[in-house]
Amino acid sequence: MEGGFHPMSNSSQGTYQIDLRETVHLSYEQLPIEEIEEMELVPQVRVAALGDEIEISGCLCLQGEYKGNQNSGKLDSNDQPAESYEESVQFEPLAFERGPYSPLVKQSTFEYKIPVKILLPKNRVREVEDIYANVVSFDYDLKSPYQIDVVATFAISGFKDEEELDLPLAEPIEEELNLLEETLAKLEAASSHEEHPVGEKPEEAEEANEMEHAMESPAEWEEITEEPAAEAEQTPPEQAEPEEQALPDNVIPLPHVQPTDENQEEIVEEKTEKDVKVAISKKGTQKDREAITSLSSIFSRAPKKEANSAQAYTQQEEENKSAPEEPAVPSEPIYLTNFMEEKEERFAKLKMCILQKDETVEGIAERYNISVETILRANQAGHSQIAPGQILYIPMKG
Amino acid sequence: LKITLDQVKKLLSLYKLKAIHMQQVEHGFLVDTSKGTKNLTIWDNADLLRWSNNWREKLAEQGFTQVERFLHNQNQKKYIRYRGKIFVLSDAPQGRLPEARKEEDCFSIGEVFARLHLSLDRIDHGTSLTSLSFLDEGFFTNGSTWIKQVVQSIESKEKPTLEDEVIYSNLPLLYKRFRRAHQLWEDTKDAVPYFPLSFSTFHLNQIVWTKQGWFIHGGYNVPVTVLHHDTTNLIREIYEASGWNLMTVSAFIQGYENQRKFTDHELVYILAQLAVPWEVWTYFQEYWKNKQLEGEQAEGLVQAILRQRHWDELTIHVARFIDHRNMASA
Repeated sequence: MEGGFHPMSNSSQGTYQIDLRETVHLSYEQLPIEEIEEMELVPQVRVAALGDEIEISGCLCLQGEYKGNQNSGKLDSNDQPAESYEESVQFEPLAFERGPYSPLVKQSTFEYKIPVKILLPKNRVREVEDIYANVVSFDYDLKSPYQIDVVATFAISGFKDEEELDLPLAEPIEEELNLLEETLAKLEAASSHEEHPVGEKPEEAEEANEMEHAMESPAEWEEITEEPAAEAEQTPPEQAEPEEQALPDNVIPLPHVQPTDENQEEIVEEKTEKDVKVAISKKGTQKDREAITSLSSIFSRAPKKEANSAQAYTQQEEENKSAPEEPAVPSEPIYLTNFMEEKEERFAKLKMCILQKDETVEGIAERYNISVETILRANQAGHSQIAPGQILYIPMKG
Repeated sequence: LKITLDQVKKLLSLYKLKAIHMQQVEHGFLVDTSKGTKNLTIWDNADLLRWSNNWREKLAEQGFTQVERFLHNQNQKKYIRYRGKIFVLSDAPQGRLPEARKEEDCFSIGEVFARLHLSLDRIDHGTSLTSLSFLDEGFFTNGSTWIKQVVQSIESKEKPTLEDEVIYSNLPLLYKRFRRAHQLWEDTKDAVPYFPLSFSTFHLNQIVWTKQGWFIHGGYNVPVTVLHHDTTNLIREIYEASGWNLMTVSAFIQGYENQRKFTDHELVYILAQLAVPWEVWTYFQEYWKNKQLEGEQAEGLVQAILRQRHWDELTIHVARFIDHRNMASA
């Protein structure tokens, strides 16, 4: 199974929606599909409180029945002569290999589970029991007798409404980012105001003054300038902005935040602990491993606190620039947010595939034009730990 | 039949020839004599021998003297009965074999071969030979039945092997070819019995280039059938020997039609034969007979399947030629 991008959005109050785009390949044990008769996508998730977080884990179970191509392996005695002799002797080439699918298969059903793991700050939830998941929309496209593209949106509901949250989440991320960038620039300009001759950058000084006026508390002003100022030294605003604009889909965007005085403290506190995380479990069912040849991950986009992620993002960028060869090993499962902290951040998306019996990591690396080391690093595994049947994360360059 | 040199000497004495050295070959002996190298061939079927003599003589009558003719002995006889067999003597040609990679050679072979067929057109058989073709209703019916049996047999296996699966996946494709060959054959089956008799096979090495030009020889004891089994066989041989160059096939056909035009039925009959995947068919039957394929046979099947792609291209090439000719004559 392969997947596309899966933005997660807080589409309505108390509900998060995740868009899925998956490509399901039939296994060699299954008949080629002639016509889909029935297909359903059922969320099978459980919700559990884990410390300060709520974990929503489980899977989306894709089940289907179809009319198999019974002519596969059957003898067609009803073929009619073609109009021309040339056309009449156009034959499908004989094959000296069996091919990826057994011609003797009988199965005409399939089932695949898309593992899902989502972490949310506990303060978004009133009661764990309130959380529930449902499929909002679901469609598929039969690409070939062996491939189905599935597009779905499933929702997780039962969160606190935005008004109930400590942190407003209403404004678009880009606007918030711009505001933050502007703020950082102004603060920087303000901090170096005395060094510039008056009138050299009147607009900056003026804006800094405006900003200063906007801040009611000098104490809070200090708190804001301390963090972003340090960050601004590392990543100038004019560099950070294009990076945000070119943010790949698997990058969790900077959260938005009202730069209100009341929230400044909370922003700092929540920056590493209260982000929404969406991940794919490494552990699929055994059946999944056998039936599906490859799949790619779910990517998430979740609303988060602006300053936290902005800082985290720029810090990651900075860390990447300093190029540590061995990134910190994230804990299981591999959260996308964790993954983003590593050097592989330059990859725009993750792909997942199941290592087949006759495949090697070297072969996979060659196929995707990346190094073996990159694959091993992405999977947090040594070479000897990779075995057939195992799901491999493949970082893909965007 | 064991023949000693003394016995050969005795036979050749009837031709006033002295045998110096002899070498046993497929259908007799290659004998060095006091008057050059001769072929002493041994025949079982008098009718077949008579037919063989007829086309050689007819070809010579038509002005194509570069043909291996049976020699008269001192008693003006061409055939010698000895120990229940029939012996004939002929000159063994000396020359180079045609080069299938050369289109000009293929063109010439086409011309010479057409001359041979022209001689066959005019033969009064005068023999008990019948013009049966091994392409008939029974061939196609039995083939289809056999394929269905193999399909069922593999499907009934609890644990089919990879070999079974490869065979199984190819059976529908094989069946399609059989079906289409059958349809083509049905289009022309009424005309086929009126085709003249010819060799069941004819090989490229039966024509050699001598000082006097292209020379036809051989064809000893070769079963006869309706015309163009030999043509199909020769086209396939040229195509393979040329390194799968379809242009050599075109050159051959062009040379042939320069001397003798194919009829529509003849062309379709050739096409029907080309549509049958003979080589793969043989391996599949071997598999069916032994319930498996040994190492070399499995490798042979793989090679046969690979070669079948060339045969498919050849079939399309000939079909395209027929279409073009039909369009031109329309």
